Amino acid sequence: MAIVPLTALVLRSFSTPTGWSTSAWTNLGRTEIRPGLRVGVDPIEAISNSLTTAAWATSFAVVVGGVASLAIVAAQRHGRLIDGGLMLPLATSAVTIGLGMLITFDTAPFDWRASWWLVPVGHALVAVPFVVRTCVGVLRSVDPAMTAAAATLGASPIAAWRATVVPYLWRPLGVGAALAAAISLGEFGATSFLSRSGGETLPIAIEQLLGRTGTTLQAQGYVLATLLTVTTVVLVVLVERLQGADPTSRGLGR
Amino acid sequence: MSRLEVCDVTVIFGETTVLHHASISLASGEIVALVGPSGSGKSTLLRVIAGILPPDRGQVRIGDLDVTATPTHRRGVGMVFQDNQLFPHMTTIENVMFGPKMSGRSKAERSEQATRWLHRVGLDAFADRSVTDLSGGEAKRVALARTLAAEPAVVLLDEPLTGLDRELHDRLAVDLAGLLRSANVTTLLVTHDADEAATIADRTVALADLDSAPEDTAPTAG
Repeated sequence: MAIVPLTALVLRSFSTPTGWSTSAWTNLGRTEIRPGLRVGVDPIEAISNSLTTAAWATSFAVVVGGVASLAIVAAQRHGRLIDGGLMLPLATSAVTIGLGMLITFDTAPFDWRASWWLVPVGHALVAVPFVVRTCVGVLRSVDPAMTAAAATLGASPIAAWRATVVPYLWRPLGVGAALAAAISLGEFGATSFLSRSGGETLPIAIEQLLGRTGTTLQAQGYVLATLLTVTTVVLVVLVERLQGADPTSRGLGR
Repeated sequence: MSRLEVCDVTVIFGETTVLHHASISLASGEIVALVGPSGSGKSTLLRVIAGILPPDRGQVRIGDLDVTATPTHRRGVGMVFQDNQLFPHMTTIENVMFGPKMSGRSKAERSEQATRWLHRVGLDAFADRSVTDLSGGEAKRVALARTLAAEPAVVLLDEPLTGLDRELHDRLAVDLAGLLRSANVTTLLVTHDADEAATIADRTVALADLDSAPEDTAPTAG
């Protein structure tokens, strides 16, 4: 079912009123496609914005999600409260998060609407629950007796934790990071409130291009949508490979 | 090698008294088997001695030191767990090198020490193998080598041969006795198998005999 709309996107990026053409692909990056016809958004800049935003959002989500996962597991029963709080973005829509951030950070001294980190933080809020979900399950499966075994071999609490828990943390963090990057790249709801002119991410640029009249501009939107699809599919495949690997195998955890 | 003394230890979980005024003393280098039925508190006693579980009352002494409040990693107590608790993301030799690494040995020293112990348990050829690929008997030998390579003052063995088939069990019991004697380390072994206790230990003590309290304060359960 997912293949059909994705194929349609790719085909549309090659479709022009006069037949099939690669012009939308070769024109990518030109703000003036022909004399008098400007794209209005810079597709290359949108790609760059999306990649930068995804990198920061992923970093924020992995750090916050990783630390929160450790806290949830360490707090045992009390960890449910932290867990529930971090899952809130899943229960609300990304639009709500974007709007909430916009009206929270619009008054001095907290007027941060022009801050570069506002969009990545919004994306990270959406992605953190996914990082937490991938990490908590794995961390809970680590037998506390293994940490006790390390202690009986002379390992201090920190050394025992490093030897028995950290090796299991890398893989879910990798999965969480790939999911966070995919979520950030495709995030539209919160970004539509938080991004500013010149800072458009791919989904915003796609929406703007498809909203313009003229098949030439719309074809550019389909090109960007195709690029976004390919990138997120690569990330999802990466997630599948990481999740499918044997968690006790050597290498990833070292 | 040190003397081990457990003095009047009581452990209570909720409404249940698991250990009640338990006392036992092991001479330096002695191997003692503690026997008792499953769920009688034998493993709990080992966890108290190792410092994994603090007792509600009582003392644990190693040599001349009261280690009751000493954290596990500073007690010099090694423990072989019933399910081995090998580190699955490490190779066999990395598991055995872990103790020497924690005591600050150089890479060459810990490698030499681990190789020597793997030789003693007959697993030289398994050094670079993942521990997840070992059989039950091989894993048990690695667990023992890992514990002894850390050079603990006291070794605790928690039902070390449970789950093995009879032939392997009997062969390992003899090997284990030989290894512990050659290591000359004070050892407390818990088991529910009287034959295993007789094969490995210098003397056998029943858990029920550890209760040093007056009769009117008998345990409520356990």
